[in-house]
Amino acid sequence: MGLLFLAINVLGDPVELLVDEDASEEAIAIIRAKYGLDRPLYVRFADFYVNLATLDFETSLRHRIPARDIVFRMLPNTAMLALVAWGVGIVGVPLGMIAARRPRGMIDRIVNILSFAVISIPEFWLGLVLILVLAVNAGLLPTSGFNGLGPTGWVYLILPCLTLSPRVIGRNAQITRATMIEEMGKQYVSTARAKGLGENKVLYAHVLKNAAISIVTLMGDELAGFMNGATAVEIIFGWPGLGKLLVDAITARDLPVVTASVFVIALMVMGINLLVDLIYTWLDPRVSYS
Amino acid sequence: MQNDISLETSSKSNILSRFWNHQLVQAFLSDWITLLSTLFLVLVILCAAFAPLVAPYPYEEQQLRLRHLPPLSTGEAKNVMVSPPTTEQRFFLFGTDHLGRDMLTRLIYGGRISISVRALGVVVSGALGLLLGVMAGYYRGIVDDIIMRTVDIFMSVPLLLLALIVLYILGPSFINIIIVFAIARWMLYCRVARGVVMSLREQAFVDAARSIGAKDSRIITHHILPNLITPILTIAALEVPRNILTETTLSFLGFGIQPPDSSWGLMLSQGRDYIVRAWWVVIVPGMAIFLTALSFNLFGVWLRAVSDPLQRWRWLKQTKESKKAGVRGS
Repeated sequence: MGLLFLAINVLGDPVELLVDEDASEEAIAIIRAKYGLDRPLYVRFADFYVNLATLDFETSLRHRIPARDIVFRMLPNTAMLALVAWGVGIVGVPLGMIAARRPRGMIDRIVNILSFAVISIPEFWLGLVLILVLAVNAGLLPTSGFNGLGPTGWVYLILPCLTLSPRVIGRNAQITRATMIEEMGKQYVSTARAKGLGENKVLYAHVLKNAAISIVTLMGDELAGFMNGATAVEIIFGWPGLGKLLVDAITARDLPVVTASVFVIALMVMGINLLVDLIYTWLDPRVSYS
Repeated sequence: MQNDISLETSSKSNILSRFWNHQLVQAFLSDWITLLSTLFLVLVILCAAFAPLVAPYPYEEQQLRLRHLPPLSTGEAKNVMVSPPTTEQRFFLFGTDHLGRDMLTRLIYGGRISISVRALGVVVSGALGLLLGVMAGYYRGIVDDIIMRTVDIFMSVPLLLLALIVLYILGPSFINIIIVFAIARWMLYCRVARGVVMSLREQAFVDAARSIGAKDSRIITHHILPNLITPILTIAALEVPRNILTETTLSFLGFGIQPPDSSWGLMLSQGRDYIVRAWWVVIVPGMAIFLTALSFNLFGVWLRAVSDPLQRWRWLKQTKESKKAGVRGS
């Protein structure tokens, strides 16, 4: 967050972000005084942190309500979309497991090529194509919009999720396949086979357990990425989430909302990383944090 | 005299055939997925490099009467710039956009900017990461601590968020997008470079170099850097598709390349409004992005496999076996 403050205040003049390019000198001075930007840098820096600690981000310049309220209103929408798309993405793990069972087999090749294809697709392009095919031509689903998170709103959730999840499925399948194949080359697998364990038991009780750390790391990354990575998708489908809020605030030069949403996104990412670290110690007791 | 020439050509063809029969080259040729993706990449890069020669029609020229022509159609273009206006029969392989511009021409010129942004982005971030990583790994101590903590801080910021903030402050332009990639992606190279350098500097050949009085700068440039080329190149090849998708997304959000310049992402976002009337304005640039990213991914994976001796051996074995069995290996 300090980085954000420094970036805004040192690299560029924040007033320039607030006013139009052709504003007069007096107008700039008035705005500078109004937002307290005429004070020395260190005072503003301290102020910035006090505001963060009290979750007070001043009033949105565009909506005239506290920026904090706007951000907290958008947060559940983003979280909902992220969790559903991410949840669908877990399908990739069993896919990768099936592929890893017989490396270079038919299924493995198909999964491998498909997963590479899927991660090479630009997300918003997939979104546009899905809108064209499923919503406009077939008329099955609404093109875009939002109607609450309750039972009436779920139809609007389908297309964004279909757009977001293929990439997650592909990446999950890839990492699962790669780590499983790597683990299968290790000696404990031979030992397990030598003592007469069934192939399923070897794969799921031993190999999968050891591969789990890499898989969990990637899945944590994916979820953290969704906290803001769904921006383009949110915009295409008119989904009122944090990513859309941030981009709108940036184009509208709404500095308090930018600060607030960046703060909340960073907080979520940190929370997810912490969770992943905690899962590590549970998966592998050798990892400990002292 | 004649004899000499024939001798020279025969030795040349000998080198050529030896190159041709080398097991890596042979395996590469029989691995048709890698071959196809590499050929596609070469084609795209050549098209971008020689855009004015390759592009069939002028890049900026608008023919409003020919707007939204479907792919594979022909139209009559009017040239009003010369005093008696002339007409010209044109063929549009990928159709035309909302201003009657040829999609193929736009695609070639757009690829020029898209590819140079990606390539420069990878080069700049790779160089920055390499420099800092070598410093951290070689000198250790406080330099290492400072650099690696900075890496941790940058790693915790999501890429797109960082890009949006930097472009918000600096304003979108070609140079600034490259700066964004440099700032946002150097950490990966830095980590890998540091890891490799840390194990290399304990090796006997570095001790030997030091014992004969080589300076740090000589050890780094002559003994450590050559060993870093392969891992860094591999990361770079896999980073390119990532940059492609990010650049596309940034352009789409309006923070990337600005008109009148064109990139594939910008073509997509401009075509978005017309998707129902003319599907090709979205499908064509999207396919270009998709195929390029896919080719880079496949090429990068191949590069990684070949640079690892164990994996290379497996790969060679596999392609040889599939050839014997008469199956085309993947």
